[in-house]
Amino acid sequence: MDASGIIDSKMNELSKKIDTNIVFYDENKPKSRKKIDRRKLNNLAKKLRGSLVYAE
Amino acid sequence: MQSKRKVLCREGLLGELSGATLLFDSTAFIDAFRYPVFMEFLAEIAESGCSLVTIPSVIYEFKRGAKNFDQVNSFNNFIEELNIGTINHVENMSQKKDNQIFTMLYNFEAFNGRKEKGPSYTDSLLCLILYMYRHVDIRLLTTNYRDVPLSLFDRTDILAFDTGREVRTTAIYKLSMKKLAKKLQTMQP
Repeated sequence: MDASGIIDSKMNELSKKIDTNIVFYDENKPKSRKKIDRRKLNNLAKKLRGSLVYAE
Repeated sequence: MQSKRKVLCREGLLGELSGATLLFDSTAFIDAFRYPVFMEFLAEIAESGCSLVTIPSVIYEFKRGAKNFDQVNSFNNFIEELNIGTINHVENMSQKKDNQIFTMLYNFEAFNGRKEKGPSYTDSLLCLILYMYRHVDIRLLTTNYRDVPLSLFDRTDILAFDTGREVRTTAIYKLSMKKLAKKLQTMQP
């Protein structure tokens, strides 16, 4: 397998580790009133705090 | 007696936002990650039925520092849990003729208020979105006050909260159709 093939294959394999569920904005879509899981949100914020480069 | 909610805002704001769309700047994410009180406020807004949205460049700004799968996924999951939608094709839409005219006007007004460099790339796109989606109730949440000229936008609300060490403020802006119409009338073809 050449380099290009290795890259495609490895990227395909690693992509499975990324959780992405992008929701695109639609102004005509009914507004959601989904209950937010505070504990989950707080845990995620703790992980993110200080770990990313902020453009302040 | 101390109020349970620590973010101070105008009475009736949450009710108003329940039918609106709130556009997130990078600064809103920074405050949400750092201050649980602000995150709680955003969660309340989201639960009220308000649509939370942002643009790819805001998301990219945060993810560019992620060094492992855990950090990337934490941010993706954070966006998903808060139900934040993404407005796509912003750059493509910015090339529509009327959007170019708005951007030109915005640049002029935004540069007017500052002596050094102009507004950031991301902030100018966020302001353009307020114009592009002007027919729905869309508002911008940001602390980059200088990049949202009051000659085109109304600062409808100022939110304040106590972080324990300081009092932080953030503002909500809306495009003023009256101000924009007035500015356009002065432009010569």
